[in-house]
Amino acid sequence: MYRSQRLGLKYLGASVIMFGAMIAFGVLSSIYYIQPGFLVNIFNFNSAKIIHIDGLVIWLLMGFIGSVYWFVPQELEREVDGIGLAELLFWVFCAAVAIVVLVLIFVQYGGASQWSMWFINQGRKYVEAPRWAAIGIVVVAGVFAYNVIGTAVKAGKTTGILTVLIADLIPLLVLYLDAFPQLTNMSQDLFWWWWLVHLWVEATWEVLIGCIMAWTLIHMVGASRRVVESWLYVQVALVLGTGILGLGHHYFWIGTPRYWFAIGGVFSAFEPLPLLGMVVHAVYDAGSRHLQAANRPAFYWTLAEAFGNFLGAGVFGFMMTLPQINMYSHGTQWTASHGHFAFWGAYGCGVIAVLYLALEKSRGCDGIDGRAWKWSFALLNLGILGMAGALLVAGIDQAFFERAVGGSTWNAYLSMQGRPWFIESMWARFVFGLVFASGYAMLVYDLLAIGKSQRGAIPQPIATAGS
Amino acid sequence: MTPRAMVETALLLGAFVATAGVYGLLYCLWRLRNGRGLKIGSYLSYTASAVIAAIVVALTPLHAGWKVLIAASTVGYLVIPPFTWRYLTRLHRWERKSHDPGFAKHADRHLAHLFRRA
Repeated sequence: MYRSQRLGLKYLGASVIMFGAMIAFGVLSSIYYIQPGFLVNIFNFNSAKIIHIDGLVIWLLMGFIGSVYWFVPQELEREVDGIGLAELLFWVFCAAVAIVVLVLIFVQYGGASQWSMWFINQGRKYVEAPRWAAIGIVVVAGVFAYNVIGTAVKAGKTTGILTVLIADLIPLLVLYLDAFPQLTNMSQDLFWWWWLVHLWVEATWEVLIGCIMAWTLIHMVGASRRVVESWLYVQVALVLGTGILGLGHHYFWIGTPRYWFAIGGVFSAFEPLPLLGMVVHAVYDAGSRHLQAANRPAFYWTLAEAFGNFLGAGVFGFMMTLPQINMYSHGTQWTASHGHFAFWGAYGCGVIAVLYLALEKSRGCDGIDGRAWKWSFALLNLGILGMAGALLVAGIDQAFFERAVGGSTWNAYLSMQGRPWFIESMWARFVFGLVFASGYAMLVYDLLAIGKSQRGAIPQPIATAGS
Repeated sequence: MTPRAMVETALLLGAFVATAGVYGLLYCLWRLRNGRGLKIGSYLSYTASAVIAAIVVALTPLHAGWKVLIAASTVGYLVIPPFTWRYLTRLHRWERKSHDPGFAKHADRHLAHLFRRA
């Protein structure tokens, strides 16, 4: 096994731990909605929510980085360039994440000062990590890009998937720099901030997961490289074609010109179209293999990725994307419903598929099956469906009574919190959050148990598939 | 737009995309298994999607531009599954043929013929 693949496994392991932290703080956040005085002045809702959302970003990012470190040496049949630095930065990254989490738990917030921005909380939603940690993320991303690009240069060759990945790494790094500016004009600040949040998620991450899933298909079911690459080009063109200007749906209510209504609405309406294409491709691949693969969990999580992406991003997104609806729905639990489902479908399932694939190869198993993965698959997906459904009901109730009938007043907001449908939905979200957490526990158990009976065996050499 | 119309329109839009997704899924299953029920199911799903789109266009207070977009999307959802299916089938067939020595020999002869003509 290559050193970078061992590093990939470490990143994937760290991503599973962060996944757990995200779930723990998500469940904690859900308690505040059903018990409003919960931990008041000890550990407030905003701190729990920050760790929940930033935990989401970090677990997925670590999962992506781990996946790429796992696949790149197989792709180029050589060790990753600068692997020593990458290994060092893995520990720096983990230490930085741990320090940031501890600061957010024990210090929580500071005054409106440079000190707070540098050492406690940067104050920008979704990228709250203090400035020193944000600089650390840039360094890690820079070294990661150097590892991938440098390896391709040293190898003197590239492949279609790797070329797409390299092209994607540049905007991935550059867009993160949007976390730094300190603009005092709220509209201007949000305008650029959405470049980071939306374009990372609906452009660069989509391409990144596309590359990762392409490699997964090649190594999991021996899919033809030419077929996978041809499809990747089509998907990347469609996703970027609709996703980049789909950015406009975040510009409806932040003080930008009116033409963003048309741009955002039109391109957002097109966004489900390539996702339907992905569903067709998934069914084609699954059907042509009669739902059989040696690594069944990886195969099923890959399928779940296509369906979850279509439902979460396509169906739940389209419901609320046109400006006339979005005027009432944005910022309600409706948005949270779409966010939970879309992130899970588009990225979470994909990272779990790679986890199973990497563990199968690294532990020298000839395929993976059993009961534990089925339980975790069922509980995690049932949990997310339940949470997304409960949040959808709460969000529609909120958009209807608080926004449309109540006119978004403070009084309407407060009276909304006591409405039966809202309260019941929050309870349902909490219960399904626990179901999701139990699915996570089962997932961890299964991942630890993979290949246990064959632990003594020497890991099999990893074949370079599809070349 | 009234509060009630807002909720109704949003749910219709969600149902529109969801039924289009069911159509895509059933269409693929029909092409895989050739079942008559699947074929009918796929047509019914698409019909449901088109009917929902018609309701959105006729009865909801969305602006005219968005209604045109919904109508255009209806056509898009109709053609995406067969188009994608055909593309995938052709891609896989071409891939299989390129691994077939007989095909490769034929392709070489064809290329040589082309070069001679050039």
